[in-house]
Amino acid sequence: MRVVHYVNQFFAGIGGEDQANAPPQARPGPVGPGVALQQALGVDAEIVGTVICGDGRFADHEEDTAPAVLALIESFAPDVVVAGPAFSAGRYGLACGRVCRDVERLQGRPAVTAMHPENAAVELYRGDVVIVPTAAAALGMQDAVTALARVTLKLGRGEALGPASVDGYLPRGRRLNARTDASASARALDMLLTRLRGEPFTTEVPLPRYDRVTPPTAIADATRMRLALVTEAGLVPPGNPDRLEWVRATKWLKYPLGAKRDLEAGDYEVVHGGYDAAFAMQDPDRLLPLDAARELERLGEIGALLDDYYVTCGNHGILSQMATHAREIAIDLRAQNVDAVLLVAT
Amino acid sequence: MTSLASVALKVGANRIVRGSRFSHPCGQPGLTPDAERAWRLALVRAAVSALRTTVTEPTLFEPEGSPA
Repeated sequence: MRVVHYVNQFFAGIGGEDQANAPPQARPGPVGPGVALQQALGVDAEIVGTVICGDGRFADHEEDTAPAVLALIESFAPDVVVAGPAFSAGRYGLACGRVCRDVERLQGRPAVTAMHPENAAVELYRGDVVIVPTAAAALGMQDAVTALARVTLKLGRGEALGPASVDGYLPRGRRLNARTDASASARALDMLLTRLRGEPFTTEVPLPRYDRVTPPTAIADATRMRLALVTEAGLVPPGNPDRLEWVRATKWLKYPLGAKRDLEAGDYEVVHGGYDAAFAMQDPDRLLPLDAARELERLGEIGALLDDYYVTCGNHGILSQMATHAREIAIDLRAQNVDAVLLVAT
Repeated sequence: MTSLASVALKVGANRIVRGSRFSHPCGQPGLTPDAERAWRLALVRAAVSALRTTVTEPTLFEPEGSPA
């Protein structure tokens, strides 16, 4: 089994922050932590090459650097790629995450990295990349390479990983099918009884964790505020020209309000499988309160309304997909100097 | 702006204005058209007021006349 290892300039022994701009480069065989990793891998796997890049270089020129790193990795024709461990190093973690994601997506080869669960790269890459949890600092190197080696061997043999808790990586938020002896109702009652006895239990359906966002500062002067109207209510022009999905939407859209002062029945339809749109179809202002917002604009109580409104469908929205919509809409709004958003949720 | 304020609080939306019903958060079909428009104006005013209010955690604003 051929293994290629990605490390940063520090772990490769090139230097510290003064060498953070080191360009992508390759060396045969294991380097730095690769020596310990090779020992943990044993005789079934060989680190045939090490690819190195400075953390600053990767972070500042990611779009040019990632393909260069990938080409070097590919030159060794690996069966599996290992990046890190990055511990709690932020830029190194981001580079490891990007390298692993690209190796899997673009080269179709398995990849694994390792870092501390609170490394910023975890939130960004945990859904796409297998990440083995480590201690915060390099003192935990031995444990990290032992755990990494186990996953590396499994991936390199082309085996599917089991659940995160069994195979020792951070949950990717995927559901895996598995056979069990007891029916769901029996398992649920067992879990309830265990809980009532005050004993520890493991849920089969972990609830999503929601981000906490620091509240933005209050608007100082609403009379100069540029306000945008956004909704997940699935309000679209008749005929749904851009084919917004009525469930699990994969897109968001924006449509001009133009000089409209009021949303008229018949000018819109609702694409949303989560509610009865009869009342909203009678008067779409019941979803997107344009008449009221225009009135406040006329009275000078708000500065101006953005010309477009933004829409997606929140019905059965997948959290990560909705978060992506939100980020993209926010970027678009910021580019138009919007100060505040009124988001109507059905 | 939502009728499902408890959900919005739980997921951590910071400024929440309680709307009417989930199928028409900014509408009250039971009112006369004029009364409904007046209520909607008050609702959006409450949203502007919420935007002008400093908050430190998910906070629910209850506009006058919105069904609880």
